[in-house]
Amino acid sequence: MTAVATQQARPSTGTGGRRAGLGGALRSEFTKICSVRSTYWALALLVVAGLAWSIAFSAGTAAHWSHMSPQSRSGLDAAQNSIIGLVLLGQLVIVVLGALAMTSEYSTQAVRTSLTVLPRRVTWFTAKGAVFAAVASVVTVAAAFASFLVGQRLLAGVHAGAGLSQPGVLRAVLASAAFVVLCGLFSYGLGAMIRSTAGTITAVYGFLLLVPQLARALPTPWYNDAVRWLPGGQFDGAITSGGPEPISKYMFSTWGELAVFGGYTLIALLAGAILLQRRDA
Amino acid sequence: MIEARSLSKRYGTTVAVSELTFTVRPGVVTGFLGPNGAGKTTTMRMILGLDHPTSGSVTIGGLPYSRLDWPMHEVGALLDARAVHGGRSARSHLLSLAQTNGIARRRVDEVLGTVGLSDVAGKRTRGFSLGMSQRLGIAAALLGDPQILMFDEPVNGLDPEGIVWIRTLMRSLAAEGRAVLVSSHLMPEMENTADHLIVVGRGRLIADCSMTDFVAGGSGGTVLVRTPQRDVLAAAVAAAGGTTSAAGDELSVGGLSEEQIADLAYANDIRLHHLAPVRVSLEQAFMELTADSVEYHAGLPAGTQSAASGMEAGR
Repeated sequence: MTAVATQQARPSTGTGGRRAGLGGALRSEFTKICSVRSTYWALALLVVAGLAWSIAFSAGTAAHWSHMSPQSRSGLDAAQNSIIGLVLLGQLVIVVLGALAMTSEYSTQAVRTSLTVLPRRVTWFTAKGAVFAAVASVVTVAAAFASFLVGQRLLAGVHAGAGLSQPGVLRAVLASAAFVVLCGLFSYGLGAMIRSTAGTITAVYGFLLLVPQLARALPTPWYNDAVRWLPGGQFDGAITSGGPEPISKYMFSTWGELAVFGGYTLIALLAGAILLQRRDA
Repeated sequence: MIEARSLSKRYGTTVAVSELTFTVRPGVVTGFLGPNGAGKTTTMRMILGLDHPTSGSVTIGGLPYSRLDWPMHEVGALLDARAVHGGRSARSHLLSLAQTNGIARRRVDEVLGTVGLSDVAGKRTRGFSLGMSQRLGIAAALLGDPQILMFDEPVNGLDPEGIVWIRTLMRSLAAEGRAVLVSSHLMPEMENTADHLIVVGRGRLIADCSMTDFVAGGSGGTVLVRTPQRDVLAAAVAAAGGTTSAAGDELSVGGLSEEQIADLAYANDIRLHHLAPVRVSLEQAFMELTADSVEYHAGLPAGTQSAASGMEAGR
């Protein structure tokens, strides 16, 4: 056996803070998220899914352009169609990543160590969520712009492309990215409540994809009253750049719909934090 | 110093820990002993603030764990060596822990050297053997150079070399003046490691004493004597203030040392054929004490019970 840790000088407490807190927790969680391969795989998949959809749609439209009716041509929302893939496919990916950020702590039992080195649980929860949101935002915003720009480049040949300076276009790109990040954070919050990876992903998919479909079973007047409050499912409609704003009288504006889903996310995060604080780890 | 006062934990109607009061002192290895399901891990989780006590309290140097400013500099704990994300390298794992308490990056490499994992620092921990995982867990516990160390069943599943390594480590940590709390259900392991024992069964405190007292208490300090003049010796022992009981053709003597008995026999002209103190192993002492508090009995016929405990010892 080699020498045991002898009475050496206490390791520096670094930043000179009064106690272990948010700064150290943020650095720690950044190290964690960057040091597992699943992060890179998931984020790469997110970017590829967004780009692939954009290329497929835009290249297809450009090739088909000469056969399209004038109505179809004028009705084309080039911006929405180039980034809708990032929303539809990206949310599926980011939900897994957001859930794993929390549930992998439980599936590996590493949560015991994490909460032993930092017993202030809400600080830990905040740091982990903030690091996830930051990493997810950078990648998702980049993917949104990349999908948009690639799509418009392909449509430029038939002069059907949209530009960021056109009304509603920049909003559509940013709102799409924001919605995807919120999906991830929602999943993160639910992960802290449910703790199991499979359970969390199932619950989030059910909430995002199933609830809006089930709502269609409601009598039409009820549905019309409820649709603006539905989580996520109607968001593809809300990211339009070409049509009227809001797209129907039963919906909020794009930012309004984003705020509704932001509210759901906030509730999930708060409930997750409260349960984390109160339950045994 | 860890101080538990009337610490209790109930899950529904199941009592996991009941009214535990004990102190873990610096400079000694304190063995935390009990059968499976006795509440050892639950107690350790409460010490670390992972589980909330139903009632009672436990403090580290007077403060509840969650109020420690720099927890890693106060307490290092290894609860479950396998409880790490297997996709992360050993160095990244330790770095992520160090950063929470503002511990410098070079300290990570230092502890990796201490536990002998420098060569595999960049490898993902998924491929680690149990022995390597234990070393990694101990490296994590040592990161903050804490004055209190806690290990939950640290030798489970280790090879003899690993067991010796951990035992030596715990002894030297205590020799440096640290408080070391180590739990186990394996009695022989404690016999070679612990100075002080806290014994629990079914969540209740059974004993809190030094290792020497524990073993002596279990055997009752008896001496076994074989003599052709049994009745004479019994009378002499009684006169000298000892107690006797017949054990076959032998006499079991309590309250006197073997020297006193030999001198007594010599003075009374009694021939002795055999004289030996009954050395009760920690194992036996433990079995006696916890006989009523084992949660799950194997349901063996009465006659085979002692044979079964003998097998347990060999494991």
